[in-house]
Amino acid sequence: MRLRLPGGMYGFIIRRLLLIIPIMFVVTIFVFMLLPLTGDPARQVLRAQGVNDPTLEQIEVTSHRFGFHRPLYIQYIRWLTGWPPADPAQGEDASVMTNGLLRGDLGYSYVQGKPVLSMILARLPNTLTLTIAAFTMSLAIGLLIGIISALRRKTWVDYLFMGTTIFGVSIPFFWLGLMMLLIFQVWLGWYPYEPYGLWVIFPAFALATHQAASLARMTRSSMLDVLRQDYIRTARAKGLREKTVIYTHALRNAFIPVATLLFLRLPFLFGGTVIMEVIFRWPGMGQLLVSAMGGGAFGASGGAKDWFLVQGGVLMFLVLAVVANLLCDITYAYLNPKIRYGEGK
Amino acid sequence: MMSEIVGQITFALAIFVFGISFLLLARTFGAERIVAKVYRSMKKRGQSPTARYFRRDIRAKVGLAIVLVVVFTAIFASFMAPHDPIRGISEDRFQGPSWNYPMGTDYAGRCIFSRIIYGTRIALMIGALLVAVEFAIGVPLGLLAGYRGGKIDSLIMRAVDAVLAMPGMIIALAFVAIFGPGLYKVVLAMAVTGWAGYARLMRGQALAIKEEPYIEAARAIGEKDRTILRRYVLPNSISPLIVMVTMTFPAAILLSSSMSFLGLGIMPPEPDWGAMLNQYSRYLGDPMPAPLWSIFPGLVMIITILGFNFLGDALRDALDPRLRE
Repeated sequence: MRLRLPGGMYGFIIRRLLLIIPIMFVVTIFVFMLLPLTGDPARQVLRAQGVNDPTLEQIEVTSHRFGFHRPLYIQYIRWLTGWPPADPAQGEDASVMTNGLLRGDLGYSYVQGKPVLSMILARLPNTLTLTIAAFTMSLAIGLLIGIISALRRKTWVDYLFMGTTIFGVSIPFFWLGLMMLLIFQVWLGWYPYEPYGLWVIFPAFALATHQAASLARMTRSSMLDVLRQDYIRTARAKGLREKTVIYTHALRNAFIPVATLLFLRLPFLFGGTVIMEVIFRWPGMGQLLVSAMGGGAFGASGGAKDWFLVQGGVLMFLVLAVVANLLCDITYAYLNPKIRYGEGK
Repeated sequence: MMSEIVGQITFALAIFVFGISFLLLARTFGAERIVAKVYRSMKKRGQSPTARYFRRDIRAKVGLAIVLVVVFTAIFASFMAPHDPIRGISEDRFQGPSWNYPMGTDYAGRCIFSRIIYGTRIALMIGALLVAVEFAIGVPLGLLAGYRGGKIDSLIMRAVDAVLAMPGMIIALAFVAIFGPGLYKVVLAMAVTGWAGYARLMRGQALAIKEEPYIEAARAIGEKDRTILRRYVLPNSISPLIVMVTMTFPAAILLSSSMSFLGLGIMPPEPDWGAMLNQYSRYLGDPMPAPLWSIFPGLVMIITILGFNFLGDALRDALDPRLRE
C-alpha cells in the first residue's frame, strides 16, 4: 500500500497526541486511587506482611511510615513527583516512599521487596510478544477466512468457515486455553511447565480464536458489501484482472470497517492476555498482576494483595492501551481520508 | 432444605424487583407502546417483514430455543437439579457420569450436573443486571450527547472514547480486588467501562434521528425536548438497542466467568461456571474423572453463549433491512 503524507496528517497526529495528556491525567488519578479506595491502606500493607490482626498502634505506625495519613492530594502529588520528600519527624520512612512516577519510580513491592517498575519491565517483553503474536494471528486468520468465504459465497467452504466462526465467537477463550493445556501438556506432554520463546504460539492461538472469528465474519460481510458496489463492476468492466480487482479495489475498501472492529476490540486483547498468561504460565505482566491482586487460576486465589504492584501493573496495561489506541487511530486515519481531513472530529 | 427455599425466594424476589424496575424504566421511556408494537407484529403471520424474516431464520429458532431452555433452567433450577450444588455426599466422590450423576461428581462428592444447573442462575443474573445497569447509564448519556450536541456532546464522547480504549477486564479486576468478590460487586465493576458501548450506540442513533422530518414536525407543534426524546427518538432507536442487549448478554457471561476463573469474581463454593473452572482446573492433570469437571462447564457455556449469539445475529439481520438479502 503506497502512502502519501498530506498536510492534514501531521495536524491529525499532533491533535491526537495532545489528547493523550488529559487521558493520562485521568489514568494516573485512577491508578493512584486504587490503594486509597480500599478504605484502609495501612491494614492492606500489614496483611500483606503477614499481620492479619493488627493493633491500632501498628496501623498508626504503618500509616505514618507510608505517608497514608496525609491528605489525598498530597499523596497523589507525592506519588506522581516524589515531592514533598519523606519527613522523618512525622514518622515517614524514605525507604518505602517512591521517588515519583515521573522520575520512573513506582515504589517497592512490599511483599517481594523489589522495585515495582523493574519487576514489571522485566516481564513487559513477554506480554508484548504474546499480545502482538495473538494480534497478528487473529488478523491473518480472520482476514484469510473472511476473504475466502466472501469469494466462495454460498459454497460448502463458506458454510464450513462461517459455521466454525460462530463457534469461535462463542467458545470462552479461557476454557479453550484450559483444553489446549489438557491436550498438549497433560495428554501429549508437549507444552513445557516453564514456557519460553516460540511456545507463545499456544497462548496466542487460544487468545486469537475469538478475535479471528469475529474478524472473519466482519471481513466477509464487508467484502460482500464492497463487491456489490459500482466501482467494482467498473473495475471488472475495464478488463482488470480478477486478482487486481479483489486485492487492490475490493480489499482496501472492505478493510475500513474491519479495521474499526479490530481497533475497537484491541482492549479485549489486553484483558485476554492476562488470562492466557495465567493459564499457560507465560511469565508476563498479567500473571504478576493477577497474583498481586490476590487472584489466580488453578484454585490459587485469595492471597494477600500487593497494592503497589497492582498499581504498577494496571498503569502499565492502561498505558499500553493508550499507546495502542494512538497507533490505531493513526493507522485508521491513513486508511480513511475522511478522518484525516477533519470531517471526523 | 431451608437454605434452598430461602435461595429460591431470593431469586424470585430478585427477578421480581428486576422486572418492576425494568417496567418502570420502560414506562419512563414510553416503551410500552414499543412492546405492543412488537407483539402485534409477531402475532399475525406475514404482517411485518421483520417478524416474517425472523421467523424464517433457522438461527432465530435455535437461538431462541437455547435461550428459553437456559432461562427455564435458571428459574426451576431447584426442581431440575438432582442433588445439592454446594454440599456433596462424601461416599460418592470421584464418580464418572452415570444415571444418578449425569456428569459425575467432584472430589467432594458434589454433583457436577446440579452445579452447572445452578450456574445458569448466576450467569443470567449477571447478564441481566449488567445489561440493566449499562443501559440505565449509557442510554441517557448517549441520548443527551446526540440530541443536544455541542459542548456536552464532545465532553461525553471524549469520556466514551477514552473508556472504550481501556481494557475493561483489567479495570474490572482492579475494582473487584478493591471491593472484594461477589455478584453485585462484579456487575458494578464490569459496568464501570461497559456503559460506554451503549452511550456510543445511542448517540449515533440520536444524531441520525434528530434530522428526521418527524422530529422537526414534533418541534413545530411545540413538543418539549423530553417528550421528543421519549416519544420519538428512543422508540425509533429501539431495534439497535435490542440487538445490543442480546450481544451484551453473552459478552457479560464470558467476561464475568473469566473474572471468576481468575479468582476475582464469584468465589468457588458458589456454583458459578467460571468459579467451577477455577476450582477444577487444578485437577486437570489428575486421572480420568477429574478433567471432566473442567470440560462440562465449558461445553455448557459454549451452548449458552452460542444461543445468545444466534439470537443476536438473527435479530440484527431481521431488524436491519439493509442486511436482508
